[in-house]
Order: sequence, then C-alpha cells, then structure tokens
Amino acid sequence: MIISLFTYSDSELITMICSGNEGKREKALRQLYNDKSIRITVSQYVSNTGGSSQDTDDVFQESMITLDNCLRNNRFGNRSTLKTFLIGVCKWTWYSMKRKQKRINLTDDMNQMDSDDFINPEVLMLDDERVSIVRDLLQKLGGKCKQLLELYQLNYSMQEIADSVGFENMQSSKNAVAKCRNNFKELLMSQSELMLTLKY
Amino acid sequence: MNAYFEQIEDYIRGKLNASEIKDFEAQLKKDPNLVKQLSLTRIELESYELLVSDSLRRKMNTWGSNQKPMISRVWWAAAASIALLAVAFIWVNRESKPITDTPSVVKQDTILPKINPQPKINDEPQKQIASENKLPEAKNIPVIVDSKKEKNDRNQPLPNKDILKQQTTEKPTTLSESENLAYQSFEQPNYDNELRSATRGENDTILTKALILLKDKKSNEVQVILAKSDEPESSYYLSVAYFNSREFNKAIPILEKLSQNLDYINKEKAEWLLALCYVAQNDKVNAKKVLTVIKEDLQHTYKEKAGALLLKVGN
Repeated sequence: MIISLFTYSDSELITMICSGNEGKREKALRQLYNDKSIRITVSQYVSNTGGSSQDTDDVFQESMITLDNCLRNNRFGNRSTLKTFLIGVCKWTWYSMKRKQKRINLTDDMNQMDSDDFINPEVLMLDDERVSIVRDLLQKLGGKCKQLLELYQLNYSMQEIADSVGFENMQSSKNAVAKCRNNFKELLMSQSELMLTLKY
Repeated sequence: MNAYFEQIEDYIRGKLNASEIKDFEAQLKKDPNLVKQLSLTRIELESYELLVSDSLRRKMNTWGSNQKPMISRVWWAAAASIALLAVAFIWVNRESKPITDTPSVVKQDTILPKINPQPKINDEPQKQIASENKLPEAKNIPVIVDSKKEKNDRNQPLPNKDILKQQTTEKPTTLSESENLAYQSFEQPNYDNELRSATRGENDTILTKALILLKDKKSNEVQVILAKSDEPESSYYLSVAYFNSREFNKAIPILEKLSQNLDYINKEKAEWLLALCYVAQNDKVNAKKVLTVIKEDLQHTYKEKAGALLLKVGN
C-alpha cells in the first residue's frame, strides 16, 4: 500500500515517458532505473555469463535508452510488463556487446528470447559507423540547435519548446526547429559518401 | 501526394493506424521520391535520437551517484506517519487539559528567542567591521572568518584598468528619447536558458563565459572575449553587448551580417536588434526599412512588435 504511493504503474510510466514533459519523463525513467529487482536480475545474468559489475551498468544504461526509444516510437506493444521487457532488452544488449567483443556465444539462452517480448536493440539503433558519421554532423550544429532537435525528437509541443528554450512564442520555436532541421538535412545531403554508407 | 509526404514522420514514429499504413506502403511502391524522402527522414530522426540518448546517458550518470533504494522512501513515509500521529496525539492532549493549566513563565521563556547571544567564535574582527560600517545590530553576530579565503582574495590579480574604466561607463546615465524607446523594446535574453544551450556545444566555452558576463551586466568584458569569434551565436551576443553599452555603430554591421545569414537560427532576433539599434540612433529611414521587412514577414516572431514600434517611430 505504502509502496504504491511512490511507484507508478506501467501504463502511468509509459504515459509519462511519452508525455513530452521533462519532469514527468525523468521521474518515470528514474523509477525504472532505480528498480532494484531489475538490477539484481540483470546483474546475475551478466555475471553468470562472464561480465563484471561495470558491464552490468553499461548494459543497463544502454537498455534504458532502448526502452525509452521503443516506448516513444510505439514499439513496445504492451505484450509484457515493462520490467520483463527491460530485462529482455538487457539480455539482448549484453549479447550484442559480447558478440562485438567476440567474448562468447550466447546461443543457448538467446534462442529462448526470440519472441515478441524482446527487442533486439541493434534493429533500432544506428550502427557504430553511422553513429560516428552522424555524431560529427551533429557537432556542426550549434548547441541551441542540438537542444531544439532533442526536444523536437522527444515530441515536445512548440509551446513547450518555446518555454524550455526561452523563445518569444510558439512561432519562433516553429521557425527555429524548421531552420535547424533544414541545416541538418543539408549537412546530410552534402556528404555523398555518407549517404552511400547510410544506404540512402 | 503531399499528404503522403506529411505522413512520413508519423509512419516512422508508428503513429499511423492500420489502414493508413496500408495506404502509405502502397504509395511507397508507386513513388520513388516518397521512398527517397522516407529514407532521409528516417536517418534524420535516428540522428536526433542520438541527441536524446546522449542526454539520457548524462542524466543516468548523475542518477547512479545519488540513487536511493525504494525501501528508504517507505521508511521515510512510515516515519512521517508516526510523526503525524505523535503531533495529533500531543494536540489532542493539549486540548483536553484544564483551562487553569496556564503556561508557566519558564515555558514562555522557551518560546521567546534568546536575546543577545554571547559571541564565541572570532567575534573581534566582526565587531571592528560593524563599528566601521555603523551597524549596531551586527555587534553580537558571531562570524567565522575564513582567513584562507581572505588571503586568496588578496592574491587575485586586479582587473584590467581599462576594463574597470569601461565598466564605469557601461550604464548610460541619460538616454535620449529614441534610445529609451529602443531599450524599452528590447527584452534581455534569458541567460539561464542560453547557458543551458551553450553548454551542449562542445566548442562553446568562450560563449559560456560571455553569457555569464552578460548575465552579470559586464558588457565591456564580453566585447573583449567575443571580439575574435566568427561564430554567429557569439557574434549575436557581441552585438547585444554593444547594444547594452550604447555602441550601436559597432553592433549594426554585425547584425546586418547576421540578418543576411539564412542559416542562422537566431536570424529573427538579429533583425529585431538591428531595427532597435537604428531606432536608438534615431535613424528613422533604416529603422522603418527593417521594421517594415519584419512586419511584412507573416511568420516572423517579432512581426507584431515591429508593427507597434513602426507606429511609434513614425510618430
């Protein structure tokens, strides 16, 4: 009873993460991040397969990022609880990390995770090569543009962007976001090699 | 066809319903331009996702250091409940006591604040300062003097004399009518927000310093720091610094250049400040010219303000 005063249900968490409100989003993500039972499960899994506590931390952070991405982009599907989903993502992330490091084959357990409940983070994210190219391009945008585009990606309304960034009104955030997006698109298009790498 | 292009983002973000997805995918088979645009938008949004994930990663690093187990919150709640019950119990007991049970003198004393507590720690220097400043009420306040800090402060290099001289001239004493009008129309940037943005750019340390100085109204120091910077954002704040110190002639060429930079995110702000510089200089011809351009741009942030100011300048 008391615990329920301080924790949010899955549906509340999902609404909060997708709300486009910084405070709510942070609260929800923080609850999941600080959930000890998830941590313990992930930690046991990672250590049983040759990982350290640092590996657990890395896996957990990357999986939180995947979870956040899935929820905001309607890729969760409500087929399991958030906890089960996050643990599944953690296992996949750990598997991907190990495969990259060529440390082990996790074929035994990973076959069991080939279900709708689990999401392979590699499917969702840019690969390392793309990430480094895109990161360089993003670096060419100013700090302000980066902030605007982050808020835009988080589905903030134009008014919320104006309030958060300190613009005069909704129209100015609309103009600024459009300008930043155009600048970035031009940067993308100007890199012919990049576009080939990105299979455009 | 345009409708499909407008649906690209919703398609990527999974916001279309089943029939819309079916239509959209059918159109994708027919329209290679739509396919091309879809790929570009997908890459674009995936790139922005990197900004979100970087930001979340930074936050999680701070959560990790001060995370508290949920159980402690439960204990806090339990403790708070017990405290509430205790307060309620005391309150009820207090109410039920006979009226004759008036508070004793001793009790009254405990409620009253203690007067003139005796200083114990290093009160001599404070007494001296207080008497110098003629602040009798400060006599008995004990102050811990940080001799180390005091020493460090003394060792700080003195500010450049030229800057100090400039600072004294920064705040205009008497403003002309046109300057008054310009300053009233200019809203100083929200420097806290600007600082938050500036720290996201990795090469923006100079800009960060400049914004802190601008926030502290040290426009002349900002001019020294930003003088060599070619970055549009830095140039804008340099012009704000010139504007604040009434050096409109120096601000105008910078703002003219920024106003012609179509890629500059704060182009509209630069145009508005340019108009205000002309207004401040009482250059009505150029002021009206710029204000008219702003007013006639239907999507300009300062469209309405420009219209209102145009009327005042005209009069």
